[in-house]
Amino acid sequence: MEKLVKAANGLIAKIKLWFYNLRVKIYQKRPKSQKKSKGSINGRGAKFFYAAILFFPLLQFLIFYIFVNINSILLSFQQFDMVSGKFTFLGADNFKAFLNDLVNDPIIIKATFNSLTLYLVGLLIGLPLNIIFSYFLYKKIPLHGFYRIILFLPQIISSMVISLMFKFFVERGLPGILNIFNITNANNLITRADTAFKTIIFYTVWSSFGTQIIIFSSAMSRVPQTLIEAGKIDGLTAFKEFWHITLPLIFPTITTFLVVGVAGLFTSQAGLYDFFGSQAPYHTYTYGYFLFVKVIGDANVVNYPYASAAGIIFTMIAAPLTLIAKFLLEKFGPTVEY
Amino acid sequence: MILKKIFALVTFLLIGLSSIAGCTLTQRGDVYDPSKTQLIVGNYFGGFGEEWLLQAKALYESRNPDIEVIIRSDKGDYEENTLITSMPTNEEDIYFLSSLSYHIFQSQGYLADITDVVTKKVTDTTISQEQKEISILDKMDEQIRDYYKINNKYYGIPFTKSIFAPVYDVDLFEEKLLYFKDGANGSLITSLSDKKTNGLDGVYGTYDDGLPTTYIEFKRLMNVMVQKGITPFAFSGMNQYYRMRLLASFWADYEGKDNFNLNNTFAGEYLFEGDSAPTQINVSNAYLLQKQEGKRYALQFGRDLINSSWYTTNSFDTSQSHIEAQQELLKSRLGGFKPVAMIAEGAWWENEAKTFMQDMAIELNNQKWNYGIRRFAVMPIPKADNGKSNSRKTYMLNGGKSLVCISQNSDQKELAKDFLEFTTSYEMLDVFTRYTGAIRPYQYEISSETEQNITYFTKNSWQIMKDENVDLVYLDMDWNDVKRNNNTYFGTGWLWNSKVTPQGGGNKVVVAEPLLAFKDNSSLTADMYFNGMLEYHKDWKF
Repeated sequence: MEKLVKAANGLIAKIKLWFYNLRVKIYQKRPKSQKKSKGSINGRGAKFFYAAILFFPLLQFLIFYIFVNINSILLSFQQFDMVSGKFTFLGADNFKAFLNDLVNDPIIIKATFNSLTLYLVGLLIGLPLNIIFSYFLYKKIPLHGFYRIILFLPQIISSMVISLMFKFFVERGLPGILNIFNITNANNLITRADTAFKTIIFYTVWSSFGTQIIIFSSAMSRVPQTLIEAGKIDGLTAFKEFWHITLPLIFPTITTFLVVGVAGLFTSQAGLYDFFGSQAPYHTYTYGYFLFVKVIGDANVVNYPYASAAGIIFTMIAAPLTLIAKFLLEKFGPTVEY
Repeated sequence: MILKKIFALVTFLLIGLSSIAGCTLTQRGDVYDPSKTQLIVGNYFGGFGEEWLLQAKALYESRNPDIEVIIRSDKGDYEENTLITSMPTNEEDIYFLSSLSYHIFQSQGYLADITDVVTKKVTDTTISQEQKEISILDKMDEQIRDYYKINNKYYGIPFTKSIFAPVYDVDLFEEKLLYFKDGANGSLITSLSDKKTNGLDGVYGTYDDGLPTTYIEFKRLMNVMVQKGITPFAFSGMNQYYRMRLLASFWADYEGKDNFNLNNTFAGEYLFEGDSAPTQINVSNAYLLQKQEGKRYALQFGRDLINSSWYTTNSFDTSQSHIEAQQELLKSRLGGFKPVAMIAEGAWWENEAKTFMQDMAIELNNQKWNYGIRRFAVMPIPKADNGKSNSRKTYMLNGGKSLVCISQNSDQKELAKDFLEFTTSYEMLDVFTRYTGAIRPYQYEISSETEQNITYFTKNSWQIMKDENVDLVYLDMDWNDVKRNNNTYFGTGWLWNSKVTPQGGGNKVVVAEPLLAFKDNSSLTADMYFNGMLEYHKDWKF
């Protein structure tokens, strides 16, 4: 056995030597100008490599972000002419129409209320819950691995599958379970006017747990253990550790979610398309869903200019709000360095 | 360094290839015979399936050995919101589509001009072996010919038409004796040998014998069903489409063909309830059509349906698809289930449920559950008790936006036109009905072979469509530019959007679906909903 091992090692060494000699020969045969030192990050080859890596992502960014947004701005000043099949200049009428609808159309007024409600629930309930759950997982409570998987499942599985499972449970399973406890008014929670949007909100908060928990847990894991140990010596309780050490130190991460959440106010569909397709009841509409169904219905190319104008108005509202939120959070939030 | 360059090149190629992986410029994996000319057919794989098209392919190829017909059947790929971007670059030469905004696609230049093949008279042999010089246009149902004409040209032809109405289980009706007895003052039969009433057509021995003729009779039948432990309706909660169209079928029958069609054309006159003279309807005042009494009648039916719970508990679950609603009906007669009498469906439903019925027959080891053995039929819409329903029977049709068209992008246009002409021949129209159980919107006969092979339901639909005392009217046809330019507003919003006060009071809210609104608010009456529809549309901008 020893001899076999020795023989194998010897063979491997020979193979390695053969490849080395091959590289030396290739290197020696190259003209002098190409014989550059290894590891040069400023070499032409390296630049070519970087350019190759960046070329397609950059191209996609230019097309699908820059060009699309410029096109959207141009589209907002046009209208679709059925006869010619072309877009013609309309001026600011799409903006006027949307601003008028924003204050007069009962569907959009309801969408305003729903979007704000969704945002506030996410901010005041969803975010704190995410932070608390993340803290528990960070502190490695019993079965933390199991909880991590369960909480992250909605992010791994397709949203259509999750929404279907949720629908089946809420509509078929839950009434039966609650019936055992003599609670009999739990039928049709997703379609009843008094419960539909509340159910959607619950689903949205529940299904958003995974990503935030991963990010918050990761941020918490970077908190220096020396601080925690020092605090424990001084009698730091779990709550005080969370409130005085962990929370301030992860505040930059919280800031990111708060700032991004402001834009989400105008874009979130709250999973309505997963639940209802394009036929959600009007009383569940959000801004994001309203715009989505405007353009995805039957060849609704005629609606593109109106939807573009609406999107630009939302951007003009969301952009300063986002910057203000960022400014205030950075100014008044805890300053941390570690 | 060489290795770095090779690595860079490979990475570059991988990224590049991954970027173009989504493009459909290359073949989609279809196996071609390079010695033949290919014709690629895009088929919306919905309720009508593809079997009829495979038959068409086999026949066409046998007569044209140098042609290979490739059938691509899919749902998502051939929906309108996919085709609006994909059609210009798709490989398909000809499409058979369930729904397409014909005028929008034509204005975009996506559809080839097929005027020549549509108007050309060719020799065609009818099923009864009569030779005719006839064009596709001549065969087309007269009421829709002008719809497909744009500036005296044709860019598409209709694909299908289908009655949309309540469909009842004939076997259940016979088992539970759910027919009205003749001369019994509204009582039901007590045995199958009892003579049934003569139905809406007033003739004994026809398909509507024993079925309710008035709304009072209809309500009585529903209540008798409930007493006998039968649930009248199963709906799809996932898709409001079916419930909304059920109500629209009541509206259509009340109004009759001409009055109902005003909702498509916005041109004509209508005598509103309480007026002494008819109002001229045009684009500027078409919102007044929300006051059609047929709508009130339909809403009253909806209110009664909810009040009396004439529906299964799953009917409003968003998790219940239209397929599951069909299955709920189909298996309801098995032990352990509460029988369901009816669903609201179109002609395609039986073909859609075919596999389920076949599986039932196998699993239960009894052919009586099989497709083609089980019997279903269209429930005639009862006339309103106020005596003001149109005297003729009117059935609402689906399929007004169905389309057969040739892609402007096709490089086999002449071949596609030939195939289009072939699929609209008398022979192939018969084959279509034989394999789908549905009917195309052309004038044709069915062969004895087809008659033997089609189901009871298809025969019933055929009888209705050929009945001279029946009018057929399309829902959702965009006959004018206002409707075409505003297809969101005039989609389902035109049917039933209303402003109503929610349960518990407060500001009025907009609702789109009457049955859901009635379910949410027990104090919402049909009249309130009806009045709210005019209120919703009063800011008419056209």
